[in-house]
Amino acid sequence: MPELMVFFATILGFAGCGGVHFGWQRQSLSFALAGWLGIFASIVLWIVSQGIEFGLVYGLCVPSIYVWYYIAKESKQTPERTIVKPQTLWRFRPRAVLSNTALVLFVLPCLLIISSLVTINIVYYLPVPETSQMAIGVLLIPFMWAFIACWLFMANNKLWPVAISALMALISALQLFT
Amino acid sequence: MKKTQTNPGIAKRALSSHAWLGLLASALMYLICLSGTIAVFHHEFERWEQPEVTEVADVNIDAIETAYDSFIERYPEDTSHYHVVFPTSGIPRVVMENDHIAHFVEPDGSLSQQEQVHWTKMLVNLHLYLHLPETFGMIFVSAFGALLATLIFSGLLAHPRIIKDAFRWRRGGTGLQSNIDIHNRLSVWATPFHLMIAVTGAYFGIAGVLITIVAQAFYDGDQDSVIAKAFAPEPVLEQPLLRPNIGKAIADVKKRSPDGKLIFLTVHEPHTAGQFIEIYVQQPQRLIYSENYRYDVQGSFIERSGYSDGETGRQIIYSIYRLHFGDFAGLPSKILYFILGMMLTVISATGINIWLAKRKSKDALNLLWPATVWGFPVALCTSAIVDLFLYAYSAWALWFSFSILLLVSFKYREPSQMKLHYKKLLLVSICTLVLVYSIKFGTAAFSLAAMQLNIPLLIFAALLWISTSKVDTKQEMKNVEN
Repeated sequence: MPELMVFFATILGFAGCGGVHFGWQRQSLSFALAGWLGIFASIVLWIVSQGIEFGLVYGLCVPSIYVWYYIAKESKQTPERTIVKPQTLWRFRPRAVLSNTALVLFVLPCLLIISSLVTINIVYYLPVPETSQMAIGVLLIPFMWAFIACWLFMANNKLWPVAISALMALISALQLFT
Repeated sequence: MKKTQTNPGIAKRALSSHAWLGLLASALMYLICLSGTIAVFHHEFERWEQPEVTEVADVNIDAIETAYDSFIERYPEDTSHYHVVFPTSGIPRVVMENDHIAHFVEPDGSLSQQEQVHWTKMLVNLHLYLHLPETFGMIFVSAFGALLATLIFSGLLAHPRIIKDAFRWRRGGTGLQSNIDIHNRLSVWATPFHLMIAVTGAYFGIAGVLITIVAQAFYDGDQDSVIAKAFAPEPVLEQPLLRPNIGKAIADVKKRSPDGKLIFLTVHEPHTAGQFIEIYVQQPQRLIYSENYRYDVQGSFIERSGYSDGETGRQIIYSIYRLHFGDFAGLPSKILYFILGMMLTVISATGINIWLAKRKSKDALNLLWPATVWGFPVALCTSAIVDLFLYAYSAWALWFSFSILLLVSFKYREPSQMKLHYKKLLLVSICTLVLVYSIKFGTAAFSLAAMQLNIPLLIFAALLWISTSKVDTKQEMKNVEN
């Protein structure tokens, strides 16, 4: 029975991707939605056959493989061309090196500390047992890290994200350690 | 279908941040992804390294008791643990080990050859620590998990034509369009997997930082108390000094968890009054690493750790390992993770290809990058060949040969020519590896443990041969036309 479910989940997922592709090709929202519905139904079938944990992993990940059948169908070959580019030597630009080093230092060690302090401070207010607070914290830290990094790089004035996130970390540290 | 409307200013800034971060992470992200993808099959590589070892599907309790006694007699030195690895652990072999040495066990319980899996350990250490000092390396590599999450978000924001281009793939041309399309299609469609790998990958280093902060904030710096919250604390026992009754414990655990697969058994703090037996049992359809059953020295049941049905947080934490490494449903999950991991590796490579192709001029980076992409697999093969004869030198061989290949790349004028030669070199090194391996192991090279990797390696070599021959033919035709 689980083998049959896996078979149907595979067929439904593949057909669902086909539906999304057909909707994309014809610019039809209804076909695309039907395709997504098929993919969603395949996730349910994966869960029924493999259990919620394995089923979710398979159901969410496998469509990214099926879809290559349709991408390959859409592929267009154009004649190969070569662009001849002038050869240049590396130039040492101290200002660029300095600003990039500062950004690397902020994005790697500083954001590790900042995102950890801020996230731990937030999750320790959640009304769940401490083990769950820790588990949520450890999963949320990369997201907090990514959020601040994206904010920093997309900001016109990079001082604001640096200052605000540092202030948030300071407040969190004061709350955690005092 | 509606077109997505993204603020072009946001998309432009997201693209520039994506490019900056991509450049920052590029080479190391590629090494982490490639080594992680290959390490999905670390069990298979361990078997491949010693193909002549006897393989069994099951083992009887008497054989384990015999092996335990023989091992203690042969290695009486101090150790904090004895481990018995069962053939249902993912490798169909029985291993008896302490903290210093490991031996395979024959079906009759006698000890056979010593475990020597240096290359696999080197590969796993490369993925976990990039061969840096362990604590620093673990945090450093984990930071790449967070960087990957940042790249995913900035990449999605930078993609205003996410729906319009959903199935687009332009091949040929200057190579730029092809690289952009492969990079974007792989990234967007496999986002759930990439996010999962990013978050679970970041966990391994971040957990240590979290424990330190929580211990300082709430436990007066006592990290053991924090760890005891997340993982079941060890029982405190005071018993007479006896030989642990592991046979009784194994018989009992089989009754308590009839559907579970025994992974391994550990005797903690042997030869002390506090020694106890812990048996790790993998649970069907669960991502948790195991449910652990604890027994006293006489083999009487003490407690279960509660990883399978305890607090949700504990279950989540104990599920991250299998979720990251794809080691939860045998070969199907490993193949899935290998394919998706290879996609992530290709994304890392094509990201820099795009950046290089968009530049108006070329410099040494145009040679160094393809040398990294194609040279590193060659270096991995070289290290495997060296490891067949000189154990424990595989890491040196890897970095030495990789450095040489990077240096040699400067001799080329055209990156395309260098890429072709490095692909051919990879083909030759794979064939050499399989040939040298077969000569070294003789008939054992035709065992399942060996063939399950040698055949895919030869298939990959054949694909490389086809791909390089095509390029050769094209170049010859061009020369004739000119």
